[in-house]
Amino acid sequence: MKTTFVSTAALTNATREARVNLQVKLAAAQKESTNARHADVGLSLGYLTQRTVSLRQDLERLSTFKDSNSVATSRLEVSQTVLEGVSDAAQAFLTTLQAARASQSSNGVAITDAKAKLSSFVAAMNTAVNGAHIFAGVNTDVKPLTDYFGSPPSAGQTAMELAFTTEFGVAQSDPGVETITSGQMTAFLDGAFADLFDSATWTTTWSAASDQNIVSRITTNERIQTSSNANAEAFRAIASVYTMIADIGLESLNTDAYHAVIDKATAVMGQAIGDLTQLRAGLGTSQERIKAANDRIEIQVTLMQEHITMLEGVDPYEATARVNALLTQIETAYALTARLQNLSLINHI
Amino acid sequence: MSLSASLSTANSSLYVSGDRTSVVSRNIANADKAYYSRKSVEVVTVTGSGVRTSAVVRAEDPVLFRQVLSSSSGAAMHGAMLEALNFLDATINDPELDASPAALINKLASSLQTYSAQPQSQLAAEAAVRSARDLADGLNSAAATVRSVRNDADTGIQASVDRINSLLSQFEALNANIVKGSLANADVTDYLDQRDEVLANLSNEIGIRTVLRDHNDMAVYTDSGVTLFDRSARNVTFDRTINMAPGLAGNAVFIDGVPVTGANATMPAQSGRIVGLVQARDDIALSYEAQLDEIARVLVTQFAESDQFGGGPDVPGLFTYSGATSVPPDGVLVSGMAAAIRVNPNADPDAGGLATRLRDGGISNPSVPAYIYNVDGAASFTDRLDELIGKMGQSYTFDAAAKLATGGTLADYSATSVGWLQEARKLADGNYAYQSTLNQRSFESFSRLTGVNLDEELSLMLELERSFQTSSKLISVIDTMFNSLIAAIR
Repeated sequence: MKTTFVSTAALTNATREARVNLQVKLAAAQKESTNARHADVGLSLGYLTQRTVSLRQDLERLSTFKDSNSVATSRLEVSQTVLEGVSDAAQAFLTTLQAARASQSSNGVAITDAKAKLSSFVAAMNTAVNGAHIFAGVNTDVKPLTDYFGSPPSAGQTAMELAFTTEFGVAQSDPGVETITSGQMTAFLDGAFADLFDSATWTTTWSAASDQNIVSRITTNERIQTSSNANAEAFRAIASVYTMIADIGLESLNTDAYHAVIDKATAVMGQAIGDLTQLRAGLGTSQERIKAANDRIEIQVTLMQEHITMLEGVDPYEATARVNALLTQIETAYALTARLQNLSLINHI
Repeated sequence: MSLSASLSTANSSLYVSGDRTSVVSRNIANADKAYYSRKSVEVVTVTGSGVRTSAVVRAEDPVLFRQVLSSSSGAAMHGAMLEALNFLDATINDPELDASPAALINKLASSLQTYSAQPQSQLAAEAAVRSARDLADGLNSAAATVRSVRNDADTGIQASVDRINSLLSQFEALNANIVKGSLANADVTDYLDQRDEVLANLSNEIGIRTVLRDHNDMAVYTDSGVTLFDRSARNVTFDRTINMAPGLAGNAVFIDGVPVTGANATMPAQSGRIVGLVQARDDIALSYEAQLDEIARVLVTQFAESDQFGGGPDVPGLFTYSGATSVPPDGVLVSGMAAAIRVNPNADPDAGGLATRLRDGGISNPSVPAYIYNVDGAASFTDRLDELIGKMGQSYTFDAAAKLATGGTLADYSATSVGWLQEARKLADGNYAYQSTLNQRSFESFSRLTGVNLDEELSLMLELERSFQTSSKLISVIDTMFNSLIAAIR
């Protein structure tokens, strides 16, 4: 005979379970209202977790690109500043050459200027940023150029001496150089002297830099050159002009040969300044591309953060409202339990 | 009708009241027991001579009870799976923490990128190698987590099998008592309650079906039809593995020599804790382990160094594994790789290696020139680093055994693995929530119908008290009548 429709155990168990369930929900809602994210992201999103993990991956990659691009940017900026100095010096030297052309007696000024500009050129090429020589190509750990007038004499100076004595039979400082004709001088400048500054000889005598420029990845699939190197033609030409004036025995040359040297120097320098401008434009393009890449990254980062928030986030106000509702429910459950506790026939007989 | 007949009728009423009171007190004493069913006394009228008790009956609801059994099997199964998945989730945690293999792979890619931006920097090289080591450690510890989940599941299966055996022997004793008592017409209701409780506990471990036969005899089968108990308890056996080997499914559970779990089971059990544990051990954990192994294998392949002179085989570079001789073949799962992967000591500054070999090559063997990429030793050589970054973005073939897409980049694959695990977890959580709610509701309905209500018992007791008082009064009235009769005779 079934007369019982509810057993005492069922009655008390029901409120107990309700209380436990509510408390579990409350803990989750509290966490969500403070963090504004799902209490258990994986559990709430299921397979969509893949999306947030992927987005977080991309986000981190992009942030890394931004950081690593700043390294390339600073290298490029320093390169530009240094090259601007080299270019200005070369321009100024053209004026010196013009003055020297006008009066041979002022050759001392030209020689001194050339020596000073040569050593500042070498110093400029040896510029290091963060311990890396920026004009050394990929050989960033070595100084690209050695001081021409250093002691012991640099390989470049020794090679120059050898070429000169082989061509004319006398050293540059010998008074005998006066007999060199302008034709002989032009032949030397275009021949043996020019060879000293061709790419193959330059890298054995003057330069320890690598022809290979530093290549940087600035976005996932963009790789660009972010340095230049001391072996570029413009640099070799500038070095050759300074060397020409400083170390060809200009003070003792006869007027024709003297003019031949000055004219050659002017022509080469003019060409070199043009090349240098192109080189700087190339680096400028790289800077531009990095900037564009960074701008794109900036936009993408913002978008991705929004996406992540959309996936992982919860409305904190909604969560707070839920906390309040749950608190009310729990209080009701407590009250009910207490009331049920008192609800017994035994109190009434 | 005579006075003595009335006396005996009143007497029978007293007896019945006594019997019923004793049943009421039994009910009150057991009101809080989960599987105690409310007992009542059947009272029959004896023609001409009052009442007598015929039998003690209990409140029953076989349909609801079956639902309690099946939902408790389901809840236990999904609960066991959810527990394993939650343990595995420790290898991922909140995506925000960036602790998953997917995040560690990405950190490695990022630090390679940072290194390639300043290839001359020793610190950047060391940072890159350190993040490679973090990744290897992460994979090692994830593999260890998987292994411990599998070992725990195996231990759980053993415990479950032991429990089934002990429950079956209890069942055997109770069933014998019930059959014997039913034949002798004795009160077996308490035994029936106890047998129900044993069944409920049994259904937690493995899904069961029951068949009731004459004299309350019961046979128990698994939900797939294998006999657990029929006149006598069958033996459930399981051979526990102390340390689960990677990539291999564990042992099967046998009932009476018939496998009920695993690939060879012809009648596989459908639900219960055992089934959940076997799934956790052989299905979920093995798949996840395979995914980790595939990640590790592809890492070894990606970072392998190739012969720069041509002709020679690729050899493991930054990532290698214990006992490595060559780069594992493409697209084929190598079990245990995630546990074995480590950073080559030749590149690890803490193990006496040079971090810059990451840029220069020659990690595999610094004295073999064929595997050195940076021949000139240029400080800002980025070709090798860039090749590695490129390879991390390339598509690879993955073994289908890992139950994920078989092609894609490593980063995508590892993210998919996270998605796979979280989806399984979400599913298991949903199923568990459903089954356990179903179980709670069915038990509630069952207990509502068969359990004891104290107020009801109390009011019944009042009724019995009144009936007892009235019968006693009746006897004393009859006594008075006898007295006056005897006084008249005197």
